[in-house]
Parts: sequence; C-alpha cells; structure tokens
Amino acid sequence: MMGEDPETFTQKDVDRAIEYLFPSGIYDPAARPLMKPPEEVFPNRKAAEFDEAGRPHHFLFYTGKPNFFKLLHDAAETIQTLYKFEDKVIRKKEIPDPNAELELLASVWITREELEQSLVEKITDLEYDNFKLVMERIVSLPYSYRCKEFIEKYRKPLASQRFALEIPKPSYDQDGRAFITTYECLRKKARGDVTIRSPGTGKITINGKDLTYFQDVQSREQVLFPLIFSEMLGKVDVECNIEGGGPSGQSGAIRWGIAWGLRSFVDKNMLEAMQVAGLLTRDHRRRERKKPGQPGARKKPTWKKR
Amino acid sequence: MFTRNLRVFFRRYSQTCTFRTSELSPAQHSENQIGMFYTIDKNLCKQLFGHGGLPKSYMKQTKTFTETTLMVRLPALDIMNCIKNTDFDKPVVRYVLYGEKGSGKSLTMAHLLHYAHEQEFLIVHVPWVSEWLRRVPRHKEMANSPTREGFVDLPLDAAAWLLHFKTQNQTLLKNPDLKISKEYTWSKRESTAEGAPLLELVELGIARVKYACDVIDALVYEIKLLSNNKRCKTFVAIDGFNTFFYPLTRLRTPTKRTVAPEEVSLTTSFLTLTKNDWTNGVVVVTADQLAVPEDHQESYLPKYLLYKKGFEHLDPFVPIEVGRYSEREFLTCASYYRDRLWLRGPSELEDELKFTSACNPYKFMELCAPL
Repeated sequence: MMGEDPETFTQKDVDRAIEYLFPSGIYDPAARPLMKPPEEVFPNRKAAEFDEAGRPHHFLFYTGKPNFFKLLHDAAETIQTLYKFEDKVIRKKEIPDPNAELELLASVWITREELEQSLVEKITDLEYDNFKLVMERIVSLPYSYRCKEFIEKYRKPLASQRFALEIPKPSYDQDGRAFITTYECLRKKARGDVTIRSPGTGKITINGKDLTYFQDVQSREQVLFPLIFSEMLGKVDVECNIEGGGPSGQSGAIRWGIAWGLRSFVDKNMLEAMQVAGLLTRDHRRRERKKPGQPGARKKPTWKKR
Repeated sequence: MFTRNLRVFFRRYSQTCTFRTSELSPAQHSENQIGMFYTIDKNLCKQLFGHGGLPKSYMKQTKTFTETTLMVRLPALDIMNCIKNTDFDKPVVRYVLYGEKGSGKSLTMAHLLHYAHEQEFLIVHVPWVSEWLRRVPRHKEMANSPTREGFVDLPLDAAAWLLHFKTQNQTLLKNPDLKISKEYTWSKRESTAEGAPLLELVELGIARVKYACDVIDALVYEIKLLSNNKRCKTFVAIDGFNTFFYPLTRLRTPTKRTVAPEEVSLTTSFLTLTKNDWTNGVVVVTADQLAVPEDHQESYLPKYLLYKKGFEHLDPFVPIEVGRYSEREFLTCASYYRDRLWLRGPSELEDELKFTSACNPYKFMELCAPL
C-alpha cells in the first residue's frame, strides 16, 4: 500500500496512510477515522463464565464482581502468610533484612480506571478505597518484600524525569559569559525565545524594553517567579523576544523559557523543586472554540422556564 | 527630666534611622540628604497643599502615616541650586519637569513649592491644569467671557484657584508694598482703585465669582509688574502644563461646541505668565503624560507632550528629568515604609518589590498598599 514494503509496515505508516486516504477535518482527533488492531480499540470482554452444567467457573461468581473480590481475597491471604512468616521469624529471634525493603517512593498505586481495565469489571470509589487500604496494609508489614511481584503488579512508576538527562551545556560569548537560548517558548498564542546570561546583574530585557513592557503586576510576577524561586534574581541577565498573544500569554511563555533555560545553571535539588513547582511543565491549554447554539465555549443561554 | 529623656530618645532615633533627615528646611538640603525623607509641618502643609498640590493617592497615604513627608531627590535639588545661582535681573528661567508616569514630578514640585515658600517667593501654583480643562463634573460652571469676545470663562474654577492663591500667600499678601498699578472697573458700581492692596483684588475675585477670570487676568498682569519692579519674587508652578497645548478640551459650550484650550480665558492668563518677558521670577512646569488623553501618551519627552506650539512657547527652557528610584532611594523608601509598619514580612520582599515595581515610585507605593 502506498509504495511501502508490507514486511516492514508499522502502525505509524498505517496512521499516515489513513490520514492521507480519509482526510478529516473533524475537530476532535479521537473521532477521526482510524485503523488499529481491535484489541487496542475495544476494551477486553469477559470470557464465558459457565460450564456445561450451567454452573459458574469462578468460586466468587455470586459476589457480582468475581475478579475484584478475588484480588481482595488474594491480598488477605498474602497478609495471613506474612503474619505466619513473621511469627516464625520472631520465634527464631531474627530481624527482617533491612536491605530488602521495598522502594515505593518512585511509584504510585494504579488509578481506578486502570484497575477497572485490568480486572475487566466496574468498581465503585468505595471499593477502590478498600483496595488501596488493603494494599497499604500489606506494604506496611515488615516482610512485605516477600510478595514483591504481587505489589508491583498494582503500582506504576511516576512520570520519568526526561529533562534530567538532556540538559544542554551553556555556550560562552566573547566576554566569557555563559549563555543559553531557549527557542520556541510557547503559551497561548505567544511565541518567543529567551536568552539567559550568567553571571549577570538581574537585568531583564523584553523586546528591547525592561520589565515595564508589562503594565500589570501579575505579568511581571510571572516573569520573575522562576528567578525568585531558584534564587537567581540578580545573578543572571535575561533577554526575551516575544510576539503574538496578550500580556498573560507572553509572560507565561517567558516564564517557561526562563525556567527551561535556568536548568543549566541550577543544581539537581533545585531542578527537582522546580519540576515539582510546575515550572518546567509546558502549559498546552489553548483558547477553546465557541460552540454553535450557545454564547461561548461552555456558556449556555440563560435558562428560562417559559 | 522626662522631657529630657524624650529629647534624648528622639535624637537617638534620628541618629539611628537612615531614611529620615532632621533638616526640615528645603533650602538646607544637599546631596547628603538624597533619598531621605523630611517632614513638612502640618499647618504649612495645609496652607500650601490644602487646595490640591499633592496627588490624591499620596494624600491618602499621608493621612494613613499621620505625617506629610517628602523624599529629597536630585531633580528638586538641581532646580534649587539653579534658583540659588540665578541672576534675577535676567528674564525668568523656565524649568520643565518631565518623566514617566508616577515618577514623582508632582512631588518634586511640592518640594520646590516648600522651598519657594521658605524663600518668600510669591507662589503662583496651579495644582493640576486638567482639573480645569479636562475634568467635567456634572455641573461645570461655564460662561462666555463678558469682556473678551469669543472666550470662555470658568468662574468657579477661577474663584477656587484665587482662594488657593490667597491661602498659599497668606503672609506675603499682607505686605503693604504689593499694590495695584491701575484702576480696574468691573461694572458700574464695582471697581478696584489704583494703589489698593493686591489682597483686595483677590478677595474681590473670590466674592464676585462672575469676575474671577478677569481678576486672574489682572492679577497676572500685576504680579508681572510687581516682580519687574522688584517688589516681590515670584515662583510660578504649573502642574500638567501640556494640557494647555492639547488641541481639544473636554469642555463644551451651551451650544455643544467643543472648546479649544486657547479659547479658555484662564489659559491665556497663565500662558502670559510663562513667557519670559518679565524678570525676578522662576517658572517651573511639568509635562505629564497623565494630563492628556491616552492617544497622546506614547512618549514622556516634553517635545512630544508639549507639541510644537508649546515647545516654541517655552523655548528656551531647562528640561529636568525626574527618573525612577535609584538603588539607595528605593532602600530608604522601603525602610521608611517598614518604619511606618506599612511594609512587613521578610527582607527578601524588598528585592521582589524592586523588580516588580521596576523602581517606579508610584508603582512601589501601589504595591505596598495591600502588603
């Protein structure tokens, strides 16, 4: 198809072909035509649950949610075995191995939706809370590392810190000052680039003007926030070229650009703090389109009884 | 015993604090006091600025702080130095204060007014020209001038200004030397005789509002004459001077015709006062972006704000820029606010405020208000 080699045809090629063959202007990408293996498109369904005699396979079938309660059942069983093991160890007068302790800081429990998907059952909030309670109980036991696989199955790693690996090294200009330029600082409709020079005196230049380029305090604060947060105010010079959009979009773009550029000048702890503070996260929100039949994106006409 | 202790305490306080100067007379201020605050006496403040002169927001702040303080800044000192070294036999020197919005032009002028008051100048001070030409309250009194064809009078504003003039020069007007040179006839019955004191003229203007504008005209003429004859020194201060040259005012005649500033009789009077055809005086005017509507605020430079007409009217003049706070001025201001318990919190706050306000005095004041 389309002059491609069918042997090395990947999903990406399929997507491209579909986009070419069925061009679609539908606003929501999820509603556009697609071709994918059915397993990816349709959620799993439960297998047949009865034998020839009409009796259910699963011993917890009459609970209504066999898979979920099976999970709780297993968890309870695990707790019991761990208790027994603990008693045994205490009788032998030994202590748990401190090196084998579970590392749980880098991961979190899977969300309710993910749990539903893996169990192929709908569960309520209360049930999800119960699930978490039980799992926490297991984790809190001293010998929980013995059932590591069971716990790992229901945890997922935190968002990986991609930026930590690819921080660019600053280049040096004629004066020997380190500088780094962040291109494509985007927010709303604003586009621009930000250059950070270190060491500096805290001079901020925006389109050739100083901070008075922004009239309102909020925008100025936005620009200053990454500098204040990383305690670099007065230590670096910042130059920005920015165009498009309004004050809040422009200041938001500059804020991201400064924070992104500052990665090269701050230590690792600060980097993590900046990440947690949301300084390194791009804000992808855009203006939502107006819908026909209503006055705004979400606003509905005034409701009148008659 | 107690009073001595108190005195010692106050002396200690004034020695320890670096943001306040005990030098209360503006004539004695020098480069050493730059950035420091000095207090104006309450009664004097009432006398000088009772009818305007200090910006409204600043008035509010002085009320909060229960004292009127002004910062000693370089532009004011420069002008004072110039005045000290001026030869008063030469035509008047005109100073134009200019600067960004909120950089302290009006307060520099207030400082200069205090100086002028102390040096016994006759003060002719217009607090804010836009008050006459651009601000239109619900009932703005307007009348066609009875004496001059095609001119518009603002009798109430004129009378208010005469009152302002009278309060500012209370002591000086009692001087018997200030006499009128010729007889003025207002109507069949009312006239001011030759040789009557200047005060009489002013009071007539206040009492007979109808003639206020003509009185101002006469007053300006007399003041120029008196100054020329060395009876008094005159200090002319006009805030928002560039309003006189903006092509339109917001005034409308009863026939709904918009009025140009040249057609207002007050304008002509004060424009004759700012010409340099008289001696023994000082003229300080400000060119302010806020005095004109927003379509003419692109630059704060006097050439732009005064238009060609105003520029030629004032030329030659001494331009004096009122800039943002310097590092030191900012720190003293911040410590003054801290002293007044107006600013609290950790000391890193100052750094942030310095950057967010971009060292603009008004912006700084505005930012500190909710802190």
